[in-house]
Amino acid sequence: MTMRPDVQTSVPSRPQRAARVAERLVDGELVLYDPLHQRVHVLNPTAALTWRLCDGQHTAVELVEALAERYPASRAAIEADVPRIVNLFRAEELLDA
Amino acid sequence: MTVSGRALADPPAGASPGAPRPVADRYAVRLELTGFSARVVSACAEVADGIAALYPTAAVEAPGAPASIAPPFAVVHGGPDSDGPGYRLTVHDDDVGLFETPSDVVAHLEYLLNAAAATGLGHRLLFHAGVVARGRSALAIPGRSGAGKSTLVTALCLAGFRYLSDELAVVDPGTGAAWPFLKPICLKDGGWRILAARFGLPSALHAIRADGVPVHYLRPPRPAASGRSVPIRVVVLPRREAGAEATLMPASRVQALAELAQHSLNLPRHGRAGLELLARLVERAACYTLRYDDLSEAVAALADLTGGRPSGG
Repeated sequence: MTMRPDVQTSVPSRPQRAARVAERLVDGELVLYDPLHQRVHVLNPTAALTWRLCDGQHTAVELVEALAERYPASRAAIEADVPRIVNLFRAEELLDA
Repeated sequence: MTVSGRALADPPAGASPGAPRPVADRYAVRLELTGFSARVVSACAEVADGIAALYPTAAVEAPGAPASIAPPFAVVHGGPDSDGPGYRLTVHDDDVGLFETPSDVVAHLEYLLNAAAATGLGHRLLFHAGVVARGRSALAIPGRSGAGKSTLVTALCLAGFRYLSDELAVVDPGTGAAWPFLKPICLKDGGWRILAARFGLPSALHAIRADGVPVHYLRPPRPAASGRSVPIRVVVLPRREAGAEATLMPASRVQALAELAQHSLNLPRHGRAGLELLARLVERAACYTLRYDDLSEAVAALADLTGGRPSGG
């Protein structure tokens, strides 16, 4: 797969969930609580899968590949969504710097 | 007591908190608030009587009672027999300020007593909510200040629900049950007018609250089992809308959790355990959004939800 150059450079190379962020599945939805910023986030299924893969091991490209493997029919959407989602995580300071 | 003014003056700059003052201990009142105990000593009977009139757990000490070894939470100097103007309030020897009338002092003390009690409850999960109970089920109504929690809670209590708090849910982290926090009910003028017109409520105190807002205080009833916690079985997210017919709609547990977290006072302290507690709380509770305008309709809807109109608690 290919990613737009500007997106590739803005996504962390191996995004890592911040250890302080608590998570809990409630009625099938993944809820995050960030005690530092005192914010609750509710993730949609794509964002939840992306979050789970932000383990510091997967590169941004590997995140897309992992999700596209699970949802092959949605590759184009995944290629667009994953960088945006990871950037949202970063903007919300849910990832380690 | 009736309408009062604001504090006349802030504490004097450079006041020495440790400076000994003669303690006028002619009148004293003790109270207990969810594990927090306090004694207020006053040179003025109206202050002691005012505190006793607001807290269901308060008791005025008999004149000549043996002096307490523990230092009082607050001391009030001044009064009709004193030389200077106003009433000087000190809390743990810190000078809080000079007040014009006894009702000013009582209103300020009410705020300070509640805050001190809440500070000592950090090991429990706290969030802004009105909480009432019926039988062994508590109903939590989270909301920001000014959302109408106290008005709704008062109306529910007048309909037979038990009062646990009009503002602060104190949740046991082990069980998820709510402990009573029997602070005085505090109604702003709008809510007071609605309730006074409909129920003819007597105000225990009309005063300017510590934050400058004019309010009416009501003394809540003391439940027979005031020391027991009650499991939260219903979470209601209130939405006051002009002209709306009272309607209860199921709310998602995630939405309820997010609102409870939004109104929490100390969730960061509890971290992962706090999120887990809130998740378990909403999983065990029925969660609803309540749209309403008319207070009686809202009370009827919540009474029906919890099994019909209670018959006095």
